[in-house]
Amino acid sequence: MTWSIFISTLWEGSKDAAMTVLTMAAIVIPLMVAVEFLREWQVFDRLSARLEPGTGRLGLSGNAAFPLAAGAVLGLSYGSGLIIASAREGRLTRREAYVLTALLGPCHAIFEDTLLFVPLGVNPFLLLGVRASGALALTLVLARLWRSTVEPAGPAVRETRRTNR
Amino acid sequence: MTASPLARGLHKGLETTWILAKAVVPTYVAVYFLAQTPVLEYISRLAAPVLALVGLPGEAALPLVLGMFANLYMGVGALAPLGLGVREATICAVILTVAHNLPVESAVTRQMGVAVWFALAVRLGLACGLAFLMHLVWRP
Repeated sequence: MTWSIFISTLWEGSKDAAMTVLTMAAIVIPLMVAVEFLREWQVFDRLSARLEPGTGRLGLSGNAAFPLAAGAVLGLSYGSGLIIASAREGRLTRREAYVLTALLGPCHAIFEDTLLFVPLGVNPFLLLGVRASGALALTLVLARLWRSTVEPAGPAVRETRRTNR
Repeated sequence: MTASPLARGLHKGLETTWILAKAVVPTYVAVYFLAQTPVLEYISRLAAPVLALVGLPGEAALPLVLGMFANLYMGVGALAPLGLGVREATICAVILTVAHNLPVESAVTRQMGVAVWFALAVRLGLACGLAFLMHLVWRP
C-alpha cells in the first residue's frame, strides 16, 4: 500500500465517519432534549405503565418500553442513544440489555430499512413480517431461557465492563 | 438534576454523540482500509457455495458481504445491479435487514453492556435461519 493510498483511505474513512457521526448528532441531540422535556412532564411514567403488559411478556420492565420503541422505529444507532443512556442510568438490568439486543439487533429502523428494498421488487409487508416475527420469536425464546435469575437493577454497562476486560 | 430539561438534554445528547463517535469512527476507518485489500473479494468467492443452501446465486455474496461489513446502503447498492428475481431479492433483503453494518452496530450494542459475540450470533443466526426457512417455504 503506497502512502498516497494510505492517506486517501484514511481521509475518506475519517470524512465519511465524521459525516455519519454528525448525522447521528443531528438526530440524537434534539431527541435527547425532547426526551428530557417528556421526562420533566412525566410522560414516561404513564407511557411505561401502559406498555408494561406488552414488555412484560418479553420479560422486560416498563423502563425498556420506550428505548424499545425508539430503537424499532429510529434505528439501532439513533435509538441506542436512548438505550445507552437508560443502561448507564441503571434503569435497565444486564438481562434487559441482552433481551433488547436480541430484539433490536435483528429488527430496528423498521420503516427506513424496509423501504430501501421496495425498488428491487421486494414486498415490504412480507419483508418486515418475516424480519419482525423472526426477531420476536427469538427474543421470546431467550426471555424464557434466561428466566429471572434475581439480580439487582445495577448499571448494566459497568457490570459487563468488569467481566469483559 | 436541578438543571433545566434543555440543558440536561443538550448535555446528554453531546455525551451520547461522543460515546457513539468513539464506537463508530475507528470501525469505519478500519473497514475502509479492509476494502483496499483483496480480503472482501476473497470472502465473496468463499461464500458462494454456502449461498446455494439458501437458494442464492454466487454473485449475491458481494452485496451480502458489503452490507454485513459496511452498511445497508452499500448492500442495496450492490444488490440492485444484479437483477435478481423477486424471490432471490427478498431472501437477500431478509438477510441484509437482519444482519447489516455488523462491526459498527455491534460496537454500539457493546456500549450498552452487551458482548459482541452475542450480538453477532443473534443476528447472523437469525439471518441464516430465516433465509433457509424462506428458501424451503417459497418454492420457485
